[in-house]
Amino acid sequence: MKHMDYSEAYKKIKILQETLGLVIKGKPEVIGLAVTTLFAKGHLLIEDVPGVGKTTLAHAMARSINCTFQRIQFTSDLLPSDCIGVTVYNGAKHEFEFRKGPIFANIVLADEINRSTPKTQSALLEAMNDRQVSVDKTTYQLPEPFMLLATQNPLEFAGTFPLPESQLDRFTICIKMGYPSMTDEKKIIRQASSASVMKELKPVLSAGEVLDIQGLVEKVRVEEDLLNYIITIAEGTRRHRAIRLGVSPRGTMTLYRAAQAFALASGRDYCTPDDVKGLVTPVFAHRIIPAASLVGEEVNEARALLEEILSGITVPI
Amino acid sequence: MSFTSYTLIAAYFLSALGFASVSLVDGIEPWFVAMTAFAAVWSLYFNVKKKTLISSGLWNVLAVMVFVLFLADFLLISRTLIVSASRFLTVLLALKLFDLKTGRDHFIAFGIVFFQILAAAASTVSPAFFVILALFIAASIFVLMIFTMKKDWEAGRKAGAQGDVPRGIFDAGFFAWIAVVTVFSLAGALALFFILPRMGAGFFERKTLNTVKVTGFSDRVNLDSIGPVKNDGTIVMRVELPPLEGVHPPEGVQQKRQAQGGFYFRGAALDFYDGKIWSRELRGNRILARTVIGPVSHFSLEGAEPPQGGHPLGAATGETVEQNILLEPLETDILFAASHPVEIAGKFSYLSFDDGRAVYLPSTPYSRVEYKVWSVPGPLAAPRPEDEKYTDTSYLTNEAARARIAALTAEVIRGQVTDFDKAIAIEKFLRKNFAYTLNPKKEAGIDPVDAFLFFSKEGYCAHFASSMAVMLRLSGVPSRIVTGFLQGEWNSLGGYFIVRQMDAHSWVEAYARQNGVGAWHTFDPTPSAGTEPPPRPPEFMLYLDFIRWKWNRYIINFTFSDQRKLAQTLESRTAGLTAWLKNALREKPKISAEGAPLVLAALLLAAACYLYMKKALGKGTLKQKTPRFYLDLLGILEKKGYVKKAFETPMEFAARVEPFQRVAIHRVTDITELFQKERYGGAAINKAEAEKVKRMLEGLKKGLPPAP
Repeated sequence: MKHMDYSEAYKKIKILQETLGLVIKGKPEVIGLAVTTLFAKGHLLIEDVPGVGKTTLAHAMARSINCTFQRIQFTSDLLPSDCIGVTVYNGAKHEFEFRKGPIFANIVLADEINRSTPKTQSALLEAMNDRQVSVDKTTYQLPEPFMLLATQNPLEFAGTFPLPESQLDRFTICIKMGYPSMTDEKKIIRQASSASVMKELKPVLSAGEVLDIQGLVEKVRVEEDLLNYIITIAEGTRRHRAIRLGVSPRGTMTLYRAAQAFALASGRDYCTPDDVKGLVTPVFAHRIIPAASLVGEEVNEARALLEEILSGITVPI
Repeated sequence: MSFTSYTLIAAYFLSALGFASVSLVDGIEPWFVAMTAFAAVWSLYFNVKKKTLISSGLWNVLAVMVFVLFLADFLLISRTLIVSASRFLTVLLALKLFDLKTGRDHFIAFGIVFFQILAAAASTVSPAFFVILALFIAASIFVLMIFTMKKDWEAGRKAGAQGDVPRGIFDAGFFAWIAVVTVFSLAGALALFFILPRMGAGFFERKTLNTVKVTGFSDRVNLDSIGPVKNDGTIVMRVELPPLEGVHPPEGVQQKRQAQGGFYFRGAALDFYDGKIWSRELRGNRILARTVIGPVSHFSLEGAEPPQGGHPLGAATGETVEQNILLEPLETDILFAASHPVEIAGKFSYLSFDDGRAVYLPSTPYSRVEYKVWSVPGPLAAPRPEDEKYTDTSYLTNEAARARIAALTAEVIRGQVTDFDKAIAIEKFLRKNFAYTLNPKKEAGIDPVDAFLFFSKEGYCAHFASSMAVMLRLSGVPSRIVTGFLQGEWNSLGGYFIVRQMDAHSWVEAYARQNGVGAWHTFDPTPSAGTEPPPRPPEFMLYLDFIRWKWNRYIINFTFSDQRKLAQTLESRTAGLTAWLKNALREKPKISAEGAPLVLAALLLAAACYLYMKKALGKGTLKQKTPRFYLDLLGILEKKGYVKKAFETPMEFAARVEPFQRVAIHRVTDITELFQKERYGGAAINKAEAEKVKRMLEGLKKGLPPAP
């Protein structure tokens, strides 16, 4: 198979973004971050109030890429086996066999992930980190590419369980959708129905092309000084007095990869300080725990702290 | 090795140089240097263990106290600026080593060492100083670089940057570059030193050089005192003999002179003897005729005006001996010269001379005296002295002794007619029958001469010379004692004589008519053969002394005329070179193949050096990471009031400035994008882009309104 070069990859990414833009109106940054996550081999967490298009975004991404898609609606009584799969006894063959759960797909939408119990939430840990599932001493590889899109309602909503830190750390980027602007909202209302638009979406990327682009992302050039910049920011979160838990090395690794993906999605084969700085908040905000903040305000507080840290660090030129 | 150890090593190496240079300062006691150096070594313990003994605040207080002590020392105790300043700096440095934390501390230490070396430079003429200075210069660029890095690193930490200085920076390329920079700056400094005119007496010029106190020479000869100076190896003067025309190598001159009996560097002539001591009766100290030629004055002992460029005798007969003399400061105002001087040139306001042809400086010198002498070997033609003082024997009050000596003299000179032959006979007699010793037996006798001639029959030069002079006077021949130095040791490296205290000597001059010319003839009755020569310093000392001589000649006493000479030499050499090149080009086919491998090897070496330097460069160890044009852009914008904040990314800054551009073209953004491509993308901008950037920068200079 012919391998892609940077300009070709950039064209493909642009087409993907445009396709997503047909469904998600007026949110190019959100689409950009979602695409960045995909090519950084990451997982995306979309957090906002119901009805702002979280599920639509996940759905549209799945449809734009020619690959398998599964949706899991998380509820309080959902069990780990409901996601991963279950071993059942096959009477005909007289043996146990593993029935793969919905997690075995290229793109998995975990809708309202914080409605389930931490037990079920944690079942996703191995899948997200190692792209494999272990059941009864057997390890099953998940298909490539694999991306988990999760949506969650704000924590103050009734019937929610906050995601554990370890789980949050495995999401590359956490996006807040936000309400659309007035004109965009008008467009959304006038549009027939999102379902019909969704149906018209044609896949613009194959699974193989996604893998190719993911491979290219790893080769995007990052100057030594930019790496220092990333580490300095992470150190800043670890030293800040108002932060109880700073960014883990996994977090810096993720920011590094995300910056590479973002650079490629911007049509460059090298990273700039803007790539890093622009991604600090989406990548780090959900990973740090402020020392004192109101319940449900953690992420907003974290964003403010990150802004403060960034304003104290010299950008390498 | 961690970065911190590099800074520590650098700081302590420098301090060692500082202590060493202070130890060279005259008037600084060794125990003082030892104590402060011990404190410095002690401080190493605190620095290695990262403990604090003296905080920065305490250091400031102590520094003020030491300064007060310095003032007291200067005003009351040492009264010498250099000495008390050296003490002050040394104590300050020892204290600073206990408070060596920030880059600023390191810079202060560097500054102190710099001033210590400056003080030593003003005080010492020891060639050891050259070693210290060379080490200091060689190390200072590296040291300053490390200290600057430390300071930047601290500034970075203050601004929130993390981590240690990367270890990989001290690679071969880094040191190669430092070496190159050092060599070039050193070459530049040397060029300046030899090209810039001398400033005359500087602020730090030192006048109080230690004089050589125990002198083997004196302007009186006491026969009762024995001469310990015969074992004293202290150098008194160096006499350089410029190579004669047609006589190469310079040793030829020396061998020629040696065949003629060696040099006698004449000091004072003594005429009066009181039975124990020879001394000089003051008679007619006359000023020498002076002619100023360039920066030096020429003084003629012949009374004639010396013509430009040298003495006529030297040009005409070739018998004139030219000497360049560097005289150490002795406790005497007499100038020495090979017998007999006819002309002296040097930077003197005036010189005087007496009847005995001794030449006197205006005052006893406190620093080295450099002068040039032209001498004519052989007897010194003069009219017969009229007064009786050269034949005076009135000191011989004891009739018995007088009769004994007169009888002996008559015996010795029996059959000799002329005064000259009489003198030869007495010289031979004394040489043959008396032994040379530094420790003559204390024997009976009316006076030293009587004791020498009839009882002990051994003695040193003063006894021989006195006896001869007395015997000559008794036989009616005018005579006098001359004190000075023998020629000493020949240093073939530099073509000069090293004259030491142990070469001090006295001999006799007798007036006689020879071939119809009345003249003062030199006689040396002291036997040299058969006596054990006093131990000379070992051979390698010659090399050391050669370096010292050159150091004095070309560094300490480098003068304007030297610069002129250097320029002339360079000019003639280069003229020769161009002529040679022209010839070589014309006669191309004649060049033999022998030189080809050599040329090839040189070319290969040059190519290897070039490649290595390029590689070192390419590693980016010293390469400026930020492209020049972006720095230019920032400069232009800053002048207009748009200052990039440290936390702003280049693009954020461009976006901030963009709206202020009068014309809606995105110059700042465009330049920033090119900058990012080069800086972060690793792709240098091409020529067309560089041109474009240049135009855009020009446009910004004119078109961008100042920040509101």
